[in-house]
Amino acid sequence: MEFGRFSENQTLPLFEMKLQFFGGFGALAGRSEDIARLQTGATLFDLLQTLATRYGESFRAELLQSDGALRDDVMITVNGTIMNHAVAADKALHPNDTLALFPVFPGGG
Amino acid sequence: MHAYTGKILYVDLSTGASRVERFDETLAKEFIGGTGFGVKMLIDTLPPGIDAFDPRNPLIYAAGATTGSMLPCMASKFGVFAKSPATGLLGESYSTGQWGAELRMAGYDYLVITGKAKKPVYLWIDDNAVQLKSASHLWGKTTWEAEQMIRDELGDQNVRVSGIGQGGENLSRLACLINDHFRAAGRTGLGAVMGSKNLKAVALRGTQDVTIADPEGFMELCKELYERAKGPATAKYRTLGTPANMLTMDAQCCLPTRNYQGASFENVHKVSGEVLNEKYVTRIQGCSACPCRCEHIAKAKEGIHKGAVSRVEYEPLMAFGPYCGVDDMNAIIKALQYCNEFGVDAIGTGIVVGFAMECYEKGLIAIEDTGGLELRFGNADAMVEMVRKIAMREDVGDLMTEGVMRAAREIARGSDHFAMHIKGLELTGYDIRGLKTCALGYAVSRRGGDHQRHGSYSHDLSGKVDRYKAERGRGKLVMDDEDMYAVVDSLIICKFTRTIWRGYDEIAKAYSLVTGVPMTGEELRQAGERINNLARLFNIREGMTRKDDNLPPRVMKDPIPTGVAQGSVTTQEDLDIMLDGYYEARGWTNAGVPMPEKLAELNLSSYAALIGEEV
Ligand code: SF4
Repeated sequence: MEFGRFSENQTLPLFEMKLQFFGGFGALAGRSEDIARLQTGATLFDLLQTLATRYGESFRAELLQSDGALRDDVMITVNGTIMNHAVAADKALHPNDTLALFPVFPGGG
Repeated sequence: MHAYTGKILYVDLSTGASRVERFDETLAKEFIGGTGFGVKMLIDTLPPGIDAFDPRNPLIYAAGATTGSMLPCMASKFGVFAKSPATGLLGESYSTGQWGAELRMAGYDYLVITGKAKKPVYLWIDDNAVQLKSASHLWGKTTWEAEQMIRDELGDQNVRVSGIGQGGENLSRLACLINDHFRAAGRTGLGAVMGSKNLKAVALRGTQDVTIADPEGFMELCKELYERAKGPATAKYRTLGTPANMLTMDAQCCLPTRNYQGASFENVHKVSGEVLNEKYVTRIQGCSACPCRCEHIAKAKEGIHKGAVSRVEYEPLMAFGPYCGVDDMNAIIKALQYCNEFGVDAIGTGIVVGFAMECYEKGLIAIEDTGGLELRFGNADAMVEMVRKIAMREDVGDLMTEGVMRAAREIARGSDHFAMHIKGLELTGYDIRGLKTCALGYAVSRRGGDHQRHGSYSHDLSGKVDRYKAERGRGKLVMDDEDMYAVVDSLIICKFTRTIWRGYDEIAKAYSLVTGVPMTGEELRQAGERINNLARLFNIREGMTRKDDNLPPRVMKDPIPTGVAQGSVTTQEDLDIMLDGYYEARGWTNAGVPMPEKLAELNLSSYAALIGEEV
C-alpha cells in the first residue's frame, strides 16, 4: 500500500511506517495493524486523508467530521505521543514511525 | 409547561402519608430537572449536618426535563440524590432503562422519600394511587428476585422497579439501586439510604401522556436527532461499546492496574472490548426511545461461572479486570452479575476488592480475615467471592463494605497511602497521574473521585493540552466541562450521545420545543453554573473545605512505573496550581468558597448565609 502527498517529483524516496488501529478503527479497517509506504515529506494530514479514502466511508466517518476536520473524540499518537489536533496536520512523518488511532469515549461508561 | 408534570410526590415512610406539591416555571427554568432539581431539593430539605442514615435524609428521585418524551437519548434517564453515606456530602447517581420514563408517565417529576418504615416495605405508585406494601417477604432477596416477585404479586409484568439487594439492606456504603436488571444508580451509596429507611423498592406504573409544547417542531428535531444518533458520532458505542477503551487506556498508561500499582496490564488482550464482543456478548439492546442501542449484554461461557450474565461497560470491566489483576472474563462477568443482584456499585466494589488484595499481599489482612480466601491479585475466584462477602458483610467484607477510606482508617499501618478515593468515593478508570486536566476534574468533582461530572480526560487524550503539564488554565477547561455536564445531567441527555448535539443553543432550542419554557443557550449554560455553585454550597454546608479537593497519596507520590507515561505523578504542587486556576475561573475564594457577587449573578443570594463565615 502506498500513501503520500502527490508529487511531480516521482523520484522522491519512499519510506515505511507502521499503522495501529484500536477499537472501531480496527473493525472498520478489517485489521488491527498495517504498513504505510509514504513519500519523503509526507505529513500526518496526508496520511490521514489517504487512510480515510483507503478504508472506506465508515472509517472516514469515524475519523473525520463531514467538513474534513478531525473528530474531537479521536486520539492520534505518533510513536506513543498524543498529537494535538490543532497542530497535528503539519507533523512530518519519518521512516519507522508508528501511527495509532484510538476512539475516545465521552461519557466513559 | 409541557413535558414537566409540575408535580412533586412526597412520601413519609414513618407516617405512611403522601402528598403532592406543585412547582412552577421559575424552578424549571433555573434548575431544569435531574441534577438541578436534585441538588436544589436536597439543600432545601436536608437538615444540615445530619447523618446519611438519619430518617430525615431525603431519598430523591428526579426525572430529566425531557424524560418520557421520545427525544432520542434524552427520554430514559433519571437521577437519585441524598446525603451520601460514602462521602457525607452530595450523593448523586444516574440510571437509565425504562424506570425514569415511567415516573413521568405516572404523573410526577420528583419523588421525595423521607422517614423510616417500621418494617420492610416497598412503595407502589400506580398513577395517582400511592401505597406502601409489605416487603418482609422480599427482604433478603436479590434485586432480580424482588423485581420479579413485585411484578408477579401486582399482576403486571410492565411494572418498573428500582430497588436494593442485600447490599442496601446491609447498609453497605457501596450499595446502589438497580432497575431493569442491568441498570444501576450505582455511585455514592444511595442504596444504603434506601435500606436505612426499611424500603426495598419503588415500583411504578404510569399511563399518562407526556405532552409536548410544539409537536411539529419537536418531530422535526426528533427525526434529525434519530439520524444523528444512528450515525457515525455514536457508531463506536453500538459496535464495541465503551469496553473498547481497555486497549486505548492501556496503550496510554491510563489503565489503573493492581490497585494503581501500575497503569497498564500485561494481559489486557484477554479482557479487551474486542474479546468481549467476539466471545461473550450475546445481545445488544437499548433504553427507552434510544436508537443508539449500546447495551452489550455478555454471558460467561465456561468454568464455574458459566451462565453468568451482565451488561458490561468499560469502568466495571476495568475494576474487576486489570484493577484486580484478573484476566478471566468469565469471572469478571460473574462479579458484575453479583453486583447487579446484590445491589452494590460495580465500580466502587472492584476498587475495594483491589485495595483488599493489596492489603492481603502486604500482610495487613490475613487469611483468617478473608474466610480462607487467598486474596491475591489475579485470583479471579477469590475476587468473585469477595464481592459476595462485601454485599453480605461476611468476614473482612464487613469492613470493606464501608469503602476504602473507612477501611484504611481501621486497618491503618500505611494503608491510607493506597486507598484510592477522593472525598470517600472510590476512583474510576482513568489513571490521573498522567492526565493532569482530568486529575483536577477528579479533585473538584462534587461527588468525589469521578470522571462523570466533567469528562475532562478528553482534553488530555485528544492532545489539546499537554497531558503531563499542570497549568492554571486547566481550571477554566474543567469549569466549562462541569457546567456542560450539569446541563446534560439535568435534561438528562445520555452522555454516550452527547456528541450528537451542537452546543448550548441547539440544546436550549430542543428544551423549549419540548417544554414551552423559553430558554437561550446562555441561560442554559448559566443554569449549569448555578447548579454547580449550589452543589458546592451544599458540600460546604456539610463540612467540605479546600483540603477535600485532593488526590490520593499514591497519585501524588508513586510514579507510573512503566510505559509511555512512566514517571508521571500529579503532585500537590501540580494540584495547587490547577486548583487556584479553577477557583479563580469559578469566581470563588482561594479557599474554594463562592463569592457573594457570584451568588448574586446566579440568583443564589438567598443561600449567601451559608458562606457567611467562610468569605
Ligand atoms: S446510548 Fe446506550 S445508555 Fe444511552 S440511552 Fe441509548 S441505549 Fe441507553
